[in-house]
Amino acid sequence: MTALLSLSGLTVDIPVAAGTLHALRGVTLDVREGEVFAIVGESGCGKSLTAAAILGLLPDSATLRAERMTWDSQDMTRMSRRQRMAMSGPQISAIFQDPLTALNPILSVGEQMTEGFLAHRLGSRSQARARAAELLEAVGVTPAERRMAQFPHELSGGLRQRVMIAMSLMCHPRLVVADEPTTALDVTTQVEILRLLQDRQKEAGLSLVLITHDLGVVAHIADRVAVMYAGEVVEQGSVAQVVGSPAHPYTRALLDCLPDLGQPERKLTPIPGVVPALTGDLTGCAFRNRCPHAHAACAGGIPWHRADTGQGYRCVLAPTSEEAA
Amino acid sequence: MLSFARDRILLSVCVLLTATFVGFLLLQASGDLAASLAGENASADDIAQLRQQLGLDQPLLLRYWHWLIGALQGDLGTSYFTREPVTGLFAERLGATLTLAIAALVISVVVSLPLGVFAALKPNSWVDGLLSLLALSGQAVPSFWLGLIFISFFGVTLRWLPISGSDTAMHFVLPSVVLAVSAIPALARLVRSGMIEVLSQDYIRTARSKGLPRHRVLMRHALRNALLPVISLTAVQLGALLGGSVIVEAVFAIDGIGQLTFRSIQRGDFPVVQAMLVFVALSYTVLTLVADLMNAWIDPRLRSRK
Repeated sequence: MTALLSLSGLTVDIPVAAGTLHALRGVTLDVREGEVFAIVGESGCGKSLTAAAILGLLPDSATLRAERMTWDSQDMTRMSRRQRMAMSGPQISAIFQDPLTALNPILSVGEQMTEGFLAHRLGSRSQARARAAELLEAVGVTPAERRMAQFPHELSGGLRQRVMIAMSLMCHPRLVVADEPTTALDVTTQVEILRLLQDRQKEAGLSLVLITHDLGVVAHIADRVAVMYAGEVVEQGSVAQVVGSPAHPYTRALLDCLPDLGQPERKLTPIPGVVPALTGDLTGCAFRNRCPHAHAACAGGIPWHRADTGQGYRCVLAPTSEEAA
Repeated sequence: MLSFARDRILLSVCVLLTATFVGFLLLQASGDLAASLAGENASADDIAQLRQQLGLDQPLLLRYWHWLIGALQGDLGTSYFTREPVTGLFAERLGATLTLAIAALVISVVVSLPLGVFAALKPNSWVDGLLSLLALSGQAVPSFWLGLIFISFFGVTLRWLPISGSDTAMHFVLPSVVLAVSAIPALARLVRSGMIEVLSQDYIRTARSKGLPRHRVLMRHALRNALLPVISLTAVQLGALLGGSVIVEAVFAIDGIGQLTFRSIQRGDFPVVQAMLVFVALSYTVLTLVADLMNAWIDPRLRSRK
């Protein structure tokens, strides 16, 4: 299958008071047509920044470099601001974390739903309203006509996130980037929203990049997953591979933090230590100061191992490295 | 929206009644009006006669009641000095003050909106720094000094504009610019800080993610939200301008409400001062009401809040 979005060696530097923050350090990943691709990691690992880079929403002060950054085989790094703007909506759209703050408080749901559609000249005002109503119905925001006249503060958090989802689909995008779409919601609402996202994704046949810190969510709906740590991808593969037989010690550590209802006796193991600062020059494995298996070789350059199955990871450890090399 | 407006209007009427009553009390408490009007050499009989003549011997509440009934019918009494009806004295001068205030306000808004937005787009850049410096100077320069400098440069040296009186529109150019210079800094700063805050909001990122043109994100999503406090401040500033800009009116020899009030306070012309008080209270109340209604029109959250 060909990659819809392909990132290779993506780095993002942000100037901060203490120097330069190497926020992304060579992120490499491919998102294929029609798949759900999850990016997981702890806070500050760079997953949201990866989303911002894909959406073209990096802060002005950030510098982006990439060996390759292509959308449907077109080089994104050479696109003008206008070309990127034309992509936002009809090609790539976004769902953000907090539906309470992601919608403009003074514009009605209808105005916010239709403005992108109209700005991209995809049809008339009545066509825009019809499309918005149809999508709102589909995500369960009913009655759509009345909801469109309402303002964000008149809707519950769950309803607002449904509006966000419907809004992201207005211009028939091929890729939706969802940055922690359920984190700010009640647990019961989370499941509904995830199911809804998955249904919409399947029905529209679009690709979904799902940014989350929740491996449970990943196991639930993703096809493939990339695990990020300290600004780089440390493991990547199908959900069955990464969750079923994790190769990187960090992935294993993350999985050990998850409670398992089947084994209530099992103790959860927190990961000791803290994420290293990304302002200095980082060499070797960024996880080595927290890794139970760390040894001398971890301070050197860490190659990317790729197994025949497609599962890849960045670690010098032995278990599968012979067959993977 | 209608019930919101009704509640606000009722509240405004209460505020207005309270303001006039308290003002009435304070003016009465400022001393024996009859004695000071009669002069140093007046006998006790003269003062008593004057007191009776002016109706100052009646109980306070009754006097307020008479005054209120009169005021509601458009009769604000007669000046102790010129013997002219107070309403007439006001009407003659209102035009000049109103023209000056509105011109100054329009200039302030037209200048401070783009300045504030521009500074907010590049916070802490050299452009922003320059604007802050200009704003600070505008606030620091006293208006009588700026007025005199303007008169000497544009009026005397260049002979571009008239320097005194209020006969033509040209007469209002210099004084309204002087007034605007003192109003612009606060407005521009408020626009700047409001825009900086709004631009960092999540919904701005959402708007950008839709691929909307930059000016649309700025005007429709950012500026409309940043405008709410600006509208309130503008109303207060216009209120202050309507109250009469005594100094600027004096410098440019404009016979407006500010001058009238200044003279009346000096002479203890009670009916005129009381009328002035009503006028200022009424201006502020109406302007605040209009600002509240405009804000509610922009922000639906204000409408539904009880």
